Amino acid sequence: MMKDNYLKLTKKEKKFFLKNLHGYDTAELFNNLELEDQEELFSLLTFKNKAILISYLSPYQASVLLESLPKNQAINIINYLEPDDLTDILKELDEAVLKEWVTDLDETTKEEFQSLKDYEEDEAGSRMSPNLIKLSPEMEIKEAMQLLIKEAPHVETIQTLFVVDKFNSFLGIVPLKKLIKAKSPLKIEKLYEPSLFVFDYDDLDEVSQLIQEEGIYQMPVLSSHHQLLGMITLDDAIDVYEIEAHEDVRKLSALHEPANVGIFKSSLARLPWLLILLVMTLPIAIIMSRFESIIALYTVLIMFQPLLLDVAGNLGTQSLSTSLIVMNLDLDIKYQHHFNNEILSAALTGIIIGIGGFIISSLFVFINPNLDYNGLVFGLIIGISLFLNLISATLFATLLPKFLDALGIDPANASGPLITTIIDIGSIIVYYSLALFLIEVFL
Amino acid sequence: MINNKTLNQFYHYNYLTINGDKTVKETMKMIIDESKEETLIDYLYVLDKKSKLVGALPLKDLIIARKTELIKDIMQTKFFSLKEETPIYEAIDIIQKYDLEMIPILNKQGAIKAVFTAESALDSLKEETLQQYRNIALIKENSIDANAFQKTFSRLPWLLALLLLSLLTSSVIGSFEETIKSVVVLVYFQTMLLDMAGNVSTQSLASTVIKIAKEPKAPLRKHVKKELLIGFLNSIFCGVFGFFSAYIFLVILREPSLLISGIVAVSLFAGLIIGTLSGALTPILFKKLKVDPSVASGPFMTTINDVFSLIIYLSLATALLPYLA
Repeated sequence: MMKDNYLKLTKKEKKFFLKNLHGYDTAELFNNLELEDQEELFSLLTFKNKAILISYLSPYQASVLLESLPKNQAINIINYLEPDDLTDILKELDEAVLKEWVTDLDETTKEEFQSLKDYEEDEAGSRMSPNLIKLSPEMEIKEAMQLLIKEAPHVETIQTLFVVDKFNSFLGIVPLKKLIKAKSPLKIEKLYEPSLFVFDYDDLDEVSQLIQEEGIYQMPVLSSHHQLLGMITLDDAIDVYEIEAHEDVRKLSALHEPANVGIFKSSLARLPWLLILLVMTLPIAIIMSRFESIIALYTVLIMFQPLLLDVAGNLGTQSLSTSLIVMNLDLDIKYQHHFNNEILSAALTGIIIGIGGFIISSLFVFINPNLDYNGLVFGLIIGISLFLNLISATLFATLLPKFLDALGIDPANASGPLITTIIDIGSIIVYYSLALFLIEVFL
Repeated sequence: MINNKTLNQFYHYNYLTINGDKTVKETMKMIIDESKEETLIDYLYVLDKKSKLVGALPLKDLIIARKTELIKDIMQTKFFSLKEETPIYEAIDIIQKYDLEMIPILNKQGAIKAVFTAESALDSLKEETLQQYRNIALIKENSIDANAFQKTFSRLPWLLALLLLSLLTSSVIGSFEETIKSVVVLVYFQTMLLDMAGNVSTQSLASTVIKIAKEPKAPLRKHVKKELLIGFLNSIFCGVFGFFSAYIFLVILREPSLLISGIVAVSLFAGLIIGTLSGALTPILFKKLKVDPSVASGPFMTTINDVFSLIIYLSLATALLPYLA
């Protein structure tokens, strides 16, 4: 819609329209245009707006776009970028291009890049913004206000002011509201308050969790020597939180792919787990071949096999996801307590479903004119197997994530498909062993 | 889903409204006098005489401005706002996309009712994520910290439904009893076939649920097409891989058969496509029917996958029976 309206405008109108457009919308529009119109749009933007547009593109897209520009133009735009965006984009660049460009950046930008570039993607430092307003405790509040007015245009937010001593060691914060309401003469040292903080190498997911729980809009980031390096804002935390949450959901489904990639990439990303799972079903075939004698004689066992596996797999998946939520999302539930609940519930479910399975399968055999078997014996086999397998499915599903965690593997890797396959292997053994035993006893 | 929750449980009423005809200095004094500990002052809202919201002013701009300037000259006349009936996911989306810290909620007359903050957005995002997780994990709300009895009774109906639905699968297998009796090795691959169909179902279900949650209004035809193409590619890969796995297994059993491996491969291929389709379409179908997809999807998908994959597998084997035995 926006695209069609935009394309109808004259060049002058476009320029005016773009001037007032939010960076996010500019990027959306840009992505929907043909190459030719993209170039025109880009040429109509001021350097500052070019930088804003670029910060809303994916880092890869941004780096490609920058590389296509003449060097001095690119450098000009880069100097306008926020340090954390800048770092993400520059990391995508070719090693040689990067070296050449970095030398030409202005001093502050260069410094900012140097200080951020070594952080890994999942460390708090990679997302922090080093641009913030620092006050010293000796400052008079009038001086602080003047500094604030001078610096305000250059920082992301002025909601929180940070107090450091002359060695840049973090002392505390002054909320803007407190500063405005304070009556002169008063020194900052009388005004500042302690604040929670995080370290630059802290795990980003945990930091965003902390920001969410405490409702902190600007979280100070310190070095291990308690020097103030930057801040992480609540909107960064929202982004991190969303990415992380979607990742967990995907992993639960053995879906290891980033959003919005092409068909081939998606396919390749899903394939490894599918192939692993396929190989994992081979033991089932091997186990079944050991029981060939009774399978060939009593094909009715095969008929009920999917029923048994489906029910156990379904409960296993539910129990696994609940366990992962309890482990990951810090719901203040003790795992031991959760485990007891799950097992008790599985025993109850097992009894009810076991009896239900016994009745249903016996009736099914009796009613079906083509089946010339003893319904009660096979009902008994199904019923007892269901009971045992529901309990073992829950055991697997609650213990596997803890086991992976103990090995240092992300428990989210225990996906529904993986647990189903593991449960199937166990169920098949129980089912046919039990069948062998009961058939020998009764038939 | 959280969609049926309304914005009003996240309303904040502690914001400041100001008069556009006042100067910066007067306004600053007003803020100092009237703001309390919990007042949100990052944005100030400018009202006209009829209490209609006509502008928004970031505190930052107010602080930088010259003292004698009038508010109406420095305020932003273009600003984001929400309506009372705006769904919560849209509100979260706007806060996130445009990096806003607070956003006013207007009634039909354009008067400000309350504000929605980034903090609320993050809190509700957490809740929404949990719900999404439940939909994919096939679990019901509140089942996480429920006691054993509550857990049992919330899970039981669907397990029983699955138990009954599985009889369909049993009937399918039953009607091919002759084939199975004459070629017993066929059944060894049954679990492989059904598990793999279930696995791709889970994947495309998750991908679709995430898509619906992220872009509730996006047309889904394109998404289903994409899923189907991905499924097609993976079906080919898994089919080929399955062929070799089956053949090696049969060699170990000392019953090597290219034909049986071929039947397994073709059925895997077909079963995976069925699985992809059922996974991608189930959440869309339940959304259309307005049924809570969280627990119903599992049994529904499993039954479809099992029944159709087995029909294909066993029919194929029956048709080729003269060459197998």
